[in-house]
Amino acid sequence: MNITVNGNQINTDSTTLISIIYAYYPNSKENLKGIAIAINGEIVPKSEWNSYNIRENDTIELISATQGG
Amino acid sequence: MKSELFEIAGETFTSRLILGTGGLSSLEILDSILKVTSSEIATVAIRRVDPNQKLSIFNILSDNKIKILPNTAGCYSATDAVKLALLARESLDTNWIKLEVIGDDKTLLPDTVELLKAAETLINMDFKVLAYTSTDLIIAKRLMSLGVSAIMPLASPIGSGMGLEHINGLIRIVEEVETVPVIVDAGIGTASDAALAMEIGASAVLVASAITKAVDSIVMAEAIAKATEAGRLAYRAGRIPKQLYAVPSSSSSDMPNL
Repeated sequence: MNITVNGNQINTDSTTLISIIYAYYPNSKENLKGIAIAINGEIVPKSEWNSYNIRENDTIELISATQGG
Repeated sequence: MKSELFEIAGETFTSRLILGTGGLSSLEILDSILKVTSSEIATVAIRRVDPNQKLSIFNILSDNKIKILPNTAGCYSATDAVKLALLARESLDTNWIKLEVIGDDKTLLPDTVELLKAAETLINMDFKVLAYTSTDLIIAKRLMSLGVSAIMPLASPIGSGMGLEHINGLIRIVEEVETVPVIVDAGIGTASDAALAMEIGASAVLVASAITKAVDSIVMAEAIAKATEAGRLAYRAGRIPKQLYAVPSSSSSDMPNL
Protein backbone atom coordinates (compact mmCIF):
# COMPACT_ATOMS: atom_id res chain seq x y z
CA MET A 1 0.00 0.00 0.00
CA ASN A 2 1.30 3.45 -0.89
CA ILE A 3 0.83 6.30 1.53
CA THR A 4 2.45 9.68 2.12
CA VAL A 5 3.84 10.59 5.54
CA ASN A 6 5.02 14.17 6.01
CA GLY A 7 5.56 14.53 2.30
CA ASN A 8 7.48 11.22 1.93
CA GLN A 9 6.03 8.47 -0.28
CA ILE A 10 6.06 5.25 1.70
CA ASN A 11 5.19 1.71 0.70
CA THR A 12 3.99 -0.26 3.70
CA ASP A 13 2.31 -3.52 4.65
CA SER A 14 1.03 -2.00 7.90
CA THR A 15 -2.61 -1.06 8.02
CA THR A 16 -3.02 0.50 11.45
CA LEU A 17 -2.17 4.10 12.07
CA ILE A 18 -0.26 3.38 15.26
CA SER A 19 2.16 1.04 13.47
CA ILE A 20 2.82 3.72 10.85
CA ILE A 21 3.54 6.24 13.60
CA TYR A 22 5.97 3.90 15.36
CA ALA A 23 7.73 3.03 12.10
CA TYR A 24 8.12 6.64 10.99
CA TYR A 25 8.95 8.12 14.39
CA PRO A 26 10.46 5.43 16.64
CA ASN A 27 10.83 7.80 19.64
CA SER A 28 7.05 7.87 19.88
CA LYS A 29 7.08 4.28 21.21
CA GLU A 30 8.23 5.71 24.53
CA ASN A 31 5.84 8.62 24.59
CA LEU A 32 2.99 9.71 22.37
CA LYS A 33 2.66 13.05 24.14
CA GLY A 34 3.24 16.18 22.13
CA ILE A 35 2.31 14.83 18.71
CA ALA A 36 -0.81 15.07 16.58
CA ILE A 37 -2.00 13.52 13.34
CA ALA A 38 -4.05 14.75 10.42
CA ILE A 39 -5.05 12.35 7.65
CA ASN A 40 -6.18 13.85 4.37
CA GLY A 41 -6.60 17.16 6.18
CA GLU A 42 -8.70 15.84 9.07
CA ILE A 43 -7.37 15.52 12.62
CA VAL A 44 -7.50 11.99 14.00
CA PRO A 45 -7.82 12.12 17.81
CA LYS A 46 -5.22 10.21 19.82
CA SER A 47 -7.93 7.94 21.21
CA GLU A 48 -8.47 6.54 17.68
CA TRP A 49 -4.85 5.89 16.71
CA ASN A 50 -4.87 2.25 17.81
CA SER A 51 -7.96 1.31 15.85
CA TYR A 52 -7.65 3.63 12.84
CA ASN A 53 -7.04 1.80 9.55
CA ILE A 54 -4.94 3.42 6.86
CA ARG A 55 -6.10 3.32 3.25
CA GLU A 56 -4.25 3.40 -0.05
CA ASN A 57 -3.04 6.92 -0.96
CA ASP A 58 -3.74 8.39 2.47
CA THR A 59 -1.77 11.54 3.20
CA ILE A 60 -0.62 11.64 6.79
CA GLU A 61 0.75 14.68 8.58
CA LEU A 62 2.55 13.85 11.83
CA ILE A 63 3.33 17.02 13.76
CA SER A 64 4.89 18.13 17.02
CA ALA A 65 6.06 21.26 18.78
CA THR A 66 9.36 22.73 17.67
CA GLN A 67 11.33 25.91 18.30
CA GLY A 68 9.39 28.96 17.21
CA GLY A 69 7.78 32.27 18.02
CA MET B 1 8.97 45.95 46.25
CA LYS B 2 6.50 43.09 46.57
CA SER B 3 6.25 41.08 43.37
CA GLU B 4 2.88 41.35 41.69
CA LEU B 5 1.03 38.77 39.69
CA PHE B 6 -0.55 39.26 36.34
CA GLU B 7 -3.23 37.26 34.65
CA ILE B 8 -3.78 35.84 31.20
CA ALA B 9 -7.00 33.94 30.49
CA GLY B 10 -7.61 33.30 34.17
CA GLU B 11 -4.11 31.97 34.92
CA THR B 12 -1.66 33.96 37.04
CA PHE B 13 2.04 34.51 36.41
CA THR B 14 4.89 36.36 38.08
CA SER B 15 7.42 36.64 35.27
CA ARG B 16 6.54 39.22 32.66
CA LEU B 17 9.07 37.90 30.18
CA ILE B 18 7.57 35.35 27.80
CA LEU B 19 10.25 33.38 26.04
CA GLY B 20 9.99 32.81 22.31
CA THR B 21 11.99 29.72 21.46
CA GLY B 22 12.44 30.56 17.77
CA GLY B 23 16.04 30.77 16.64
CA LEU B 24 17.56 28.61 19.38
CA SER B 25 20.85 27.20 18.12
CA SER B 26 20.26 24.04 20.12
CA LEU B 27 17.79 22.73 22.65
CA GLU B 28 20.64 22.12 25.08
CA ILE B 29 20.76 25.78 26.15
CA LEU B 30 17.01 26.12 26.63
CA ASP B 31 17.23 24.81 30.20
CA SER B 32 19.82 27.46 31.13
CA ILE B 33 17.84 30.26 29.47
CA LEU B 34 14.70 29.24 31.35
CA LYS B 35 16.62 29.25 34.63
CA VAL B 36 18.13 32.73 34.21
CA THR B 37 14.90 34.33 32.96
CA SER B 38 12.47 32.59 35.35
CA SER B 39 10.03 32.75 32.43
CA GLU B 40 6.84 30.83 33.03
CA ILE B 41 5.49 30.84 29.47
CA ALA B 42 7.31 29.86 26.27
CA THR B 43 6.13 29.75 22.69
CA VAL B 44 6.58 26.88 20.26
CA ALA B 45 5.82 26.41 16.58
CA ILE B 46 3.93 23.44 15.14
CA ARG B 47 5.75 21.57 12.41
CA ARG B 48 6.20 18.11 10.92
CA VAL B 49 7.95 15.69 13.29
CA ASP B 50 11.67 15.31 12.73
CA PRO B 51 12.09 11.52 13.02
CA ASN B 52 15.76 11.89 14.02
CA GLN B 53 15.10 14.42 16.75
CA LYS B 54 16.61 13.32 20.05
CA LEU B 55 15.53 16.07 22.44
CA SER B 56 11.91 17.19 22.52
CA ILE B 57 11.11 20.82 23.26
CA PHE B 58 7.76 19.64 24.60
CA ASN B 59 9.52 17.47 27.20
CA ILE B 60 12.02 20.19 28.19
CA LEU B 61 9.27 22.76 28.70
CA SER B 62 7.00 20.29 30.49
CA ASP B 63 9.82 19.17 32.80
CA ASN B 64 10.46 22.82 33.69
CA LYS B 65 6.71 23.33 34.33
CA ILE B 66 6.55 26.01 31.65
CA LYS B 67 3.19 26.97 30.20
CA ILE B 68 3.46 26.07 26.51
CA LEU B 69 2.06 28.64 24.12
CA PRO B 70 1.87 27.22 20.58
CA ASN B 71 1.77 29.67 17.71
CA THR B 72 0.42 29.64 14.19
CA ALA B 73 3.62 31.01 12.65
CA GLY B 74 3.87 30.23 8.95
CA CYS B 75 0.16 30.72 8.26
CA TYR B 76 -0.93 33.26 5.66
CA SER B 77 -4.70 32.78 5.87
CA ALA B 78 -7.34 32.45 8.56
CA THR B 79 -8.19 28.97 7.27
CA ASP B 80 -4.63 27.69 7.68
CA ALA B 81 -4.21 29.35 11.07
CA VAL B 82 -7.37 27.65 12.35
CA LYS B 83 -6.18 24.25 11.06
CA LEU B 84 -2.76 24.67 12.68
CA ALA B 85 -4.35 25.81 15.94
CA LEU B 86 -6.47 22.64 15.99
CA LEU B 87 -3.33 20.50 15.50
CA ALA B 88 -1.61 22.46 18.28
CA ARG B 89 -4.50 21.86 20.64
CA GLU B 90 -4.56 18.16 19.82
CA SER B 91 -0.81 17.67 20.25
CA LEU B 92 -0.13 19.86 23.27
CA ASP B 93 -3.41 19.53 25.10
CA THR B 94 -3.85 23.28 25.50
CA ASN B 95 -6.50 25.65 24.26
CA TRP B 96 -4.07 28.57 24.32
CA ILE B 97 -2.92 29.79 20.93
CA LYS B 98 -0.70 32.66 19.90
CA LEU B 99 -2.52 33.56 16.74
CA GLU B 100 -0.28 34.82 13.94
CA VAL B 101 -1.54 35.36 10.42
CA ILE B 102 1.29 36.72 8.33
CA GLY B 103 0.78 39.23 5.53
CA ASP B 104 3.98 38.87 3.52
CA ASP B 105 7.41 37.25 3.58
CA LYS B 106 9.46 40.39 3.56
CA THR B 107 7.97 42.14 6.58
CA LEU B 108 6.16 39.27 8.35
CA LEU B 109 3.66 41.94 9.37
CA PRO B 110 0.30 40.61 10.55
CA ASP B 111 -2.59 40.38 8.08
CA THR B 112 -5.13 41.87 10.44
CA VAL B 113 -8.13 41.15 8.18
CA GLU B 114 -7.37 37.42 8.29
CA LEU B 115 -6.43 37.73 11.96
CA LEU B 116 -9.88 38.99 12.92
CA LYS B 117 -11.55 36.16 10.99
CA ALA B 118 -9.33 33.50 12.58
CA ALA B 119 -9.71 34.99 16.07
CA GLU B 120 -13.50 34.88 15.83
CA THR B 121 -13.52 31.27 14.62
CA LEU B 122 -11.07 30.07 17.26
CA ILE B 123 -12.83 31.86 20.13
CA ASN B 124 -16.06 30.14 19.04
CA MET B 125 -14.14 26.85 19.32
CA ASP B 126 -13.19 27.68 22.93
CA PHE B 127 -9.61 28.68 22.24
CA LYS B 128 -7.86 31.27 24.39
CA VAL B 129 -6.49 33.52 21.68
CA LEU B 130 -3.42 35.67 22.22
CA ALA B 131 -3.42 37.78 19.08
CA TYR B 132 -0.23 38.93 17.38
CA THR B 133 -1.28 42.19 15.81
CA SER B 134 -0.17 45.57 14.48
CA THR B 135 -0.05 48.80 16.48
CA ASP B 136 -3.44 49.80 15.06
CA LEU B 137 -5.66 50.68 18.01
CA ILE B 138 -8.87 50.03 16.11
CA ILE B 139 -7.82 46.48 15.27
CA ALA B 140 -6.87 46.01 18.93
CA LYS B 141 -10.34 47.18 19.96
CA ARG B 142 -11.98 44.84 17.44
CA LEU B 143 -9.93 41.95 18.82
CA MET B 144 -10.92 42.93 22.34
CA SER B 145 -14.60 42.91 21.49
CA LEU B 146 -14.23 39.47 19.90
CA GLY B 147 -12.98 38.25 23.27
CA VAL B 148 -9.27 37.58 22.80
CA SER B 149 -7.26 36.78 25.93
CA ALA B 150 -4.34 39.08 25.14
CA ILE B 151 -3.40 41.70 22.58
CA MET B 152 0.15 41.26 21.29
CA PRO B 153 1.15 44.28 19.22
CA LEU B 154 4.53 44.18 17.55
CA ALA B 155 7.32 46.55 18.54
CA SER B 156 8.78 46.20 15.02
CA PRO B 157 8.99 43.39 12.44
CA ILE B 158 9.72 39.88 13.72
CA GLY B 159 13.43 39.24 14.18
CA SER B 160 14.38 42.78 13.10
CA GLY B 161 15.68 43.89 16.49
CA MET B 162 14.52 47.40 15.65
CA GLY B 163 12.94 48.01 19.05
CA LEU B 164 9.84 50.11 19.63
CA GLU B 165 9.45 51.46 16.11
CA HIS B 166 5.91 52.73 16.63
CA ILE B 167 6.00 53.58 20.29
CA ASN B 168 3.07 56.00 20.20
CA GLY B 169 0.85 53.33 18.66
CA LEU B 170 1.88 50.97 21.44
CA ILE B 171 1.16 53.60 24.10
CA ARG B 172 -2.34 54.16 22.68
CA ILE B 173 -3.04 50.42 22.82
CA VAL B 174 -1.67 50.08 26.35
CA GLU B 175 -3.79 53.02 27.52
CA GLU B 176 -7.00 52.06 25.72
CA VAL B 177 -6.97 48.28 26.16
CA GLU B 178 -7.85 47.78 29.79
CA THR B 179 -9.63 44.46 29.99
CA VAL B 180 -6.91 42.12 28.72
CA PRO B 181 -3.11 42.14 28.98
CA VAL B 182 -1.09 43.89 26.30
CA ILE B 183 2.06 41.93 25.54
CA VAL B 184 4.64 43.65 23.35
CA ASP B 185 5.75 41.07 20.85
CA ALA B 186 8.37 41.00 18.10
CA GLY B 187 11.21 43.36 17.32
CA ILE B 188 12.75 43.68 20.78
CA GLY B 189 16.48 43.93 20.09
CA THR B 190 18.11 44.27 23.47
CA ALA B 191 17.49 44.87 27.16
CA SER B 192 16.63 48.58 26.90
CA ASP B 193 13.83 47.81 24.39
CA ALA B 194 12.25 45.42 26.88
CA ALA B 195 12.59 47.99 29.67
CA LEU B 196 10.97 50.67 27.52
CA ALA B 197 8.06 48.40 26.59
CA MET B 198 7.44 47.76 30.28
CA GLU B 199 7.88 51.44 31.21
CA ILE B 200 5.06 52.48 28.89
CA GLY B 201 2.78 50.05 30.72
CA ALA B 202 2.81 46.80 28.78
CA SER B 203 1.77 43.82 30.88
CA ALA B 204 4.60 41.67 29.51
CA VAL B 205 7.06 41.29 26.65
CA LEU B 206 7.67 38.35 24.37
CA VAL B 207 11.28 37.99 23.31
CA ALA B 208 12.78 35.38 21.00
CA SER B 209 15.56 36.37 18.57
CA ALA B 210 17.09 39.04 20.84
CA ILE B 211 17.91 36.19 23.24
CA THR B 212 18.27 33.15 21.02
CA LYS B 213 20.44 34.88 18.41
CA ALA B 214 22.56 37.00 20.75
CA VAL B 215 26.27 36.23 20.79
CA ASP B 216 25.79 34.94 24.33
CA SER B 217 22.16 33.89 24.68
CA ILE B 218 22.30 33.09 28.36
CA VAL B 219 23.81 36.44 29.41
CA MET B 220 21.37 38.31 27.14
CA ALA B 221 18.48 36.32 28.63
CA GLU B 222 19.51 37.50 32.08
CA ALA B 223 19.89 41.10 30.88
CA ILE B 224 16.45 41.12 29.27
CA ALA B 225 14.82 39.47 32.29
CA LYS B 226 16.29 42.11 34.59
CA ALA B 227 15.31 44.91 32.19
CA THR B 228 11.74 43.60 32.03
CA GLU B 229 11.55 43.66 35.80
CA ALA B 230 13.20 47.10 36.05
CA GLY B 231 10.87 48.51 33.41
CA ARG B 232 7.84 47.23 35.28
CA LEU B 233 9.07 48.74 38.55
CA ALA B 234 9.67 52.08 36.84
CA TYR B 235 6.14 51.99 35.41
CA ARG B 236 4.69 51.29 38.85
CA ALA B 237 6.85 53.99 40.42
CA GLY B 238 5.64 56.65 37.97
CA ARG B 239 8.23 58.55 35.97
CA ILE B 240 8.64 62.33 36.06
CA PRO B 241 7.13 64.14 33.08
CA LYS B 242 9.47 65.09 30.25
CA GLN B 243 9.94 68.85 29.89
CA LEU B 244 11.83 70.80 27.29
CA TYR B 245 13.52 73.11 29.84
CA ALA B 246 15.27 72.60 33.14
CA VAL B 247 13.53 72.36 36.47
CA PRO B 248 16.04 73.06 39.28
CA SER B 249 16.47 70.22 41.68
CA SER B 250 18.22 72.45 44.27
CA SER B 251 16.16 75.06 46.06
CA SER B 252 16.38 78.56 44.59
CA SER B 253 15.39 80.25 47.88
CA ASP B 254 17.76 81.19 50.71
CA MET B 255 20.64 81.47 48.32
CA PRO B 256 23.56 83.19 50.19
CA ASN B 257 24.64 86.61 48.98
CA LEU B 258 27.93 85.81 47.25
